[in-house]
Amino acid sequence: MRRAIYSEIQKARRTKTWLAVSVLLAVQIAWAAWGTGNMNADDLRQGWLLCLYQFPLLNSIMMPVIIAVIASRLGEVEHKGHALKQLETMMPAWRLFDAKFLCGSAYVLVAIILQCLVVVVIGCTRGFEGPPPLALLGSYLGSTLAVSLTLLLLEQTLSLLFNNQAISLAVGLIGGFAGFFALYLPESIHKFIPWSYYGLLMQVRMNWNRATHVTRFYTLPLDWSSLTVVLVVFGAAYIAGHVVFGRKEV
Amino acid sequence: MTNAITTVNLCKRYGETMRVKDLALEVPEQAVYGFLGPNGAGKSTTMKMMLGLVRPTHGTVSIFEREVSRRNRLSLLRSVGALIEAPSYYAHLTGQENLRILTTLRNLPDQEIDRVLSIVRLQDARHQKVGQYSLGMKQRLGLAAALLGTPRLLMLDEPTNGLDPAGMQEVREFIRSLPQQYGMTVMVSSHLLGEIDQIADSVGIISHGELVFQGNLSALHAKSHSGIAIRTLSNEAAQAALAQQGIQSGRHDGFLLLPALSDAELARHIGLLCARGIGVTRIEERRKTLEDIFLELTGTEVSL
Repeated sequence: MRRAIYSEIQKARRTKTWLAVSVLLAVQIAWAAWGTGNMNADDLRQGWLLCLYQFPLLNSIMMPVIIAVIASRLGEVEHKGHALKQLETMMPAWRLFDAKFLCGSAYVLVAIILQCLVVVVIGCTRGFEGPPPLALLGSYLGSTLAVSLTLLLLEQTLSLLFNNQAISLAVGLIGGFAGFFALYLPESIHKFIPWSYYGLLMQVRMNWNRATHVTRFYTLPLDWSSLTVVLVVFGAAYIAGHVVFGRKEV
Repeated sequence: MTNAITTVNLCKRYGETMRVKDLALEVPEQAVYGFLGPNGAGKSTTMKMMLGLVRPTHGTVSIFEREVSRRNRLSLLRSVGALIEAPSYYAHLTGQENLRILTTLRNLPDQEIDRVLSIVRLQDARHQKVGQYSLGMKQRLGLAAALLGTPRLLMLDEPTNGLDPAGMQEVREFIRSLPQQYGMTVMVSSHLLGEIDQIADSVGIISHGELVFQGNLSALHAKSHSGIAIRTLSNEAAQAALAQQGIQSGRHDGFLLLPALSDAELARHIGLLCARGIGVTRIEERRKTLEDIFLELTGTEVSL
């Protein structure tokens, strides 16, 4: 497995996959910088919650696309040069699948850690009230990672199965929009859309008073039932990915 | 002599189409085995089944006398180098980086890269991205990849595709030298009869997924017997006169077809016909070429 992972790192040279992650971060920094400009004392008091409300919403649109790009880059290098038939004479298909998943996970993990750092840096430089909410940031990191890795499994399976990477990219794009707009639908509907779990697992919610136009952010405990659903889908997607890719003839 | 590869009743069905039917190949060790057949005959599918890249519908494959199973496939393939259909490569990486990925996976020393690059004469292009390689250079890189670790068995599927005539000749001579130089067994597929004739010791001919001939190339050549064709002013009378002399002949396309005869015998029979007033207007030597035999066996046009 160690050699399979190292070979994935060797293949990643010049693929510019980091560019996709950088674009996500640049947009989130720009969004956060714009959203936290000209804050009054009340806004600064709610600053941390504001960031932890906005970032999952942005993630529900952007992360599926970024994940689709990461997965398609990992799959495309194999299809473009007909490399699967050579690799599968040297290692079992499941090992290749796992090595690619671990490399893709590294991109996702780094992106989410950097998001958390962006929140902390913006909070400190803007002067948000109180210390960084480490517990909230920790559960944000964990739940975002769980949803992202589940989507990565789905996307990676598609990108390895089909030569045409437009399929996995289109699924990522459509899934992202479906996941975001499903948040405006009843929970019974968006529970069935894996891409909407960024929103479902948000611990910060918002109340907007129509009369006073005052926004109040508040926190909720982590939705363990939704997280359990994500973990079950992760397990099912992992097994399905192994079986389907393992059975693919090259 | 033991076999490097043996297949028993190997079959592959795609939907209703039987792509490979009951194939019983025997690839002898330390020789070049030519796997010949027209395009679409099932050569690549067969080789993929041997490597475990395609699951057989039925039948078994043995490599070095050990039956290939899901469990032992990869350990058996450690002694096999393969180039199947188009060469495998990563276009965004250099030739050297491509080979380094394979040496990483196969746990081979870096010196192997230098060795195989010099064999296929790609040292000068080692730092060039493979996406910028010509088709012939990619084919050479694929050959280099197959040679990594000096495998006991090399499976090459149409290895001269995309090469210029000089490159084709060079690769053929190289393949021809492998059994003597490294003790390798080479199974090489081609749709080019002339190519297989140049490099192979034994040959298997496949047509529509079925093995139609297998044996030494000399056995194939032995089938290319010659005969004599004559045209006379009365082929009917000539045939009767020859039959009286014990020469059986057939009639085809205005000619009488006789078996191979020595010059003296032929002169005697022609003299006899003339003495009986049967004018002989044409005498031709007819030789059945390898192409004719291939055509007969496969029922297809020959690719030259």
